[in-house]
Amino acid sequence: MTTTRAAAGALAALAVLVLYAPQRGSADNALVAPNGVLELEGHTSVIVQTGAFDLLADVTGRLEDAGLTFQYRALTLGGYYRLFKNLKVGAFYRLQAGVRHDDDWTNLTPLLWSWATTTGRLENELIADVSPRFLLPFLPGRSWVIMLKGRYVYNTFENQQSIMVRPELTYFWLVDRQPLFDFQAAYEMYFPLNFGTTTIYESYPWLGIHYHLTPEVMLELAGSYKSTVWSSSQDWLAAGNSPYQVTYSRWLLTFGVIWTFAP
Amino acid sequence: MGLVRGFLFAAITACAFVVSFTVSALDGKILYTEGTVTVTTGGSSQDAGPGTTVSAGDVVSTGADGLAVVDLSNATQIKLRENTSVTIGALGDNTQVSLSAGALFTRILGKLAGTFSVQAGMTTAGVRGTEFFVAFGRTVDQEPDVWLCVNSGTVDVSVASSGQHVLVPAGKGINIIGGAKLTPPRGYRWTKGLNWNMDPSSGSVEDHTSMNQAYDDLLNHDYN
Repeated sequence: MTTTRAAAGALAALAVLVLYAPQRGSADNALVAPNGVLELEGHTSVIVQTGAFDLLADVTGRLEDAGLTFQYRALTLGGYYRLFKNLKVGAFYRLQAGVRHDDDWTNLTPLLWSWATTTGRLENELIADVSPRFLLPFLPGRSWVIMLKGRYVYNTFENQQSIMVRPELTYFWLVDRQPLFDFQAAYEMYFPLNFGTTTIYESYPWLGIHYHLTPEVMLELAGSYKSTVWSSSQDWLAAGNSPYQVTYSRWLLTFGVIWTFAP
Repeated sequence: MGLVRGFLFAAITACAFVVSFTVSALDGKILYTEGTVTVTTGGSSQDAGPGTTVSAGDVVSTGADGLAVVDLSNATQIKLRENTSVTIGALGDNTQVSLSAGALFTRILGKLAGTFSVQAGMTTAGVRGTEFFVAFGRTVDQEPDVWLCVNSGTVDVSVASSGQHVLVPAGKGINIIGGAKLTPPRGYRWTKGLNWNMDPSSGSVEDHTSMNQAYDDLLNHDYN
């Protein structure tokens, strides 16, 4: 079913590209990035800790573009297993909509290309996570953790595969031996394995704060400057079109509530 | 003369009985042991087992595989976990024990006669009719933390160096940071795993709660 849907999607994309190929190619690539400068994201996660397992469910929504329209939405289910003290592995399934891919352009008027509406298109993602982490007790405050989060992401839509790498440094502000805040600095990069023409299609520095309201409830505020590159797809190039590349940079503010339970 | 001798014998016997009764009333007794348990009296140590008496000034210690349940004679029982050392400061109306290492459960059986207190470093936990757990935690800045949590009743915890004190109700715990700073009482997840049982006939009396659980595991945070 998924394969059929993916194939149908690919065919539809190809059809769109073929249809618009002359205009697109002759328009001197009048592709413009979305005109938003800020995106607002909200999410809530529920984490259930049972021994070495952390089960996780997350719902995320994001307002995008100049009008801050509700574009991206995702449900993620999965969990981590603590293989060693310094290593967790995880597996997740994500159902998402509103994601933009290389072939999601449409020309509403000649020479003016914009994004196709993808909010109604459901996509499935499978994610494998490997995240080693280490304490850095020699730093001032002694409560620093460095982590290298690595993920393999397989999106069944067009069978896109990518690797995410995120080095992350966290400082825990402990009060009476308990974390009250933690501050995170990270840099997230997505390396496409079988699509696009760039080495990195999305990357962003990321700063975040978590307020540990209670042992069960944590509030998150994060900001990042996100850059995404959309470039020629294989289908696009196969249709004989000239390559294109569009970079879209914008600020992203994230608000989150994280619930942790240990029955 | 015979009358005098008879009177003296009776008097001595009576005195001996009184002395004997007084000593036994002020002694404690080890009820149950597992693994290595020793009692040190006046610098000399001996292996201890069920029935061994303990007196004021004695030190009861458990080894890495040890566990001991001790009756302190005034309706008070204590359970020593592994690698624990407790000095019996006083017995009787004002029973006082001092924890110098490890972890200790206490239980008041029925109505406490007099007072009962547990010292751990500079911390004193004063008790009236309650069940609580006290243990040394990590040594972060030279002095070890002292953790205390209450299963029933109320414990008045005070710190000699600062004069601070706080009442800890049932279901709550506190950390005495570096043995000097009292934290507000609150519920702690790690206390849910404590085994309060001191009666071997009612099941296992072993408690394997790691004090590391009392501390946030900074390597365990994954938010997404």
